[in-house]
Amino acid sequence: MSKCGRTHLLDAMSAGEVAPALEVELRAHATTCARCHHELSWLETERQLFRHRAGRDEVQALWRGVEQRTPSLRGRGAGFNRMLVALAAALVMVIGLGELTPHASASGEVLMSQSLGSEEPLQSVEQASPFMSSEDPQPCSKLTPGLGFHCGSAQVNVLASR
Amino acid sequence: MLRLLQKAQAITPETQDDTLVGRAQIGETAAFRALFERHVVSVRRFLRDLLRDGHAADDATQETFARAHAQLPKLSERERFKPWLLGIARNVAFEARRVRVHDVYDNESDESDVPDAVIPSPDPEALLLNRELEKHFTSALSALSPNRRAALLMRLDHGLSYDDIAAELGWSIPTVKNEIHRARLKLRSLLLPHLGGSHE
Repeated sequence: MSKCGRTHLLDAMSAGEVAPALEVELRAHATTCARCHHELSWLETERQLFRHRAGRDEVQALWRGVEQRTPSLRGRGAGFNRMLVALAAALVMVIGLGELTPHASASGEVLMSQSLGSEEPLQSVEQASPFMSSEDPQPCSKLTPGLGFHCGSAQVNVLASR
Repeated sequence: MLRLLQKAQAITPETQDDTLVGRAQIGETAAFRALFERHVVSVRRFLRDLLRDGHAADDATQETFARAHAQLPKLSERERFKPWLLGIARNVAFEARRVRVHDVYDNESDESDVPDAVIPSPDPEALLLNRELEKHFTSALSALSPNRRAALLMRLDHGLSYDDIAAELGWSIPTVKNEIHRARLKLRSLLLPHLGGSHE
């Protein structure tokens, strides 16, 4: 077989690295060039052999091994997601506060939210705020979800779930 | 906003490696896990071919990904994740090989191997793959020196470009091409008796 200047291109073609038009041209050429035909048949044989060997391994078991060697990976998936959700919730809350209390600092109102740690409805003024007393000369107004209530000179905003 | 965050977090088969690498670099475990699942099978196969031992390949695969996780922040060319990963795997395999007493390689014994002659073409009929042929193929691969084998596997099995192989093995591109060419000749000469080759 005589040498051919295009044989070296067949490897690139086999690896999908040449333009489709060139591939068509090379394949057509290989039907008439003994050297290229020979090389192409080997390249395709190799490709089939390698493709046949590609199987499925025990991915999960291998991942556990990686986690054991990498302490920082252990149990961080759920934690990372929880952190993102908490961050998003905090942002929502901050935006919500901004919308509800445009003059918060000016009026001296007291802001409260679900971060009080209890989901129970407020039963008394003392529960709402430790520095307010039921002995306040002015009685508290009725609690209105989303708007809050007045107690003495202070206004308490209770953020209802939105 | 929550929905937007969840959308940004979603990992799909279309999510590119470089995107996953970027997210893994800032500590997103799910992104690293996705990279692991995407590449673990080929990394393990690469290591099994280099080490010729399934158990050692499992161990080396885990070590490869553990090192990859530790070194990930240093990877600046995110689109080169796969070549970079195979480069780590190769180093792990070579280190493992040094401590394996029973593993005697015929060090570079295939360097003066097959002359650059035309080897007969394989018979397509003989390519009906079976376990016997697979065994001969594995055996033929094992006969290559570790460096040549690594280069050949990176090219033929894992689809790396010559540039990427040169970068990971620390060779020049002509050296990579020459080594792969010689590895191919050796492989073909060993496989030919099992493929019913014919002269043209």
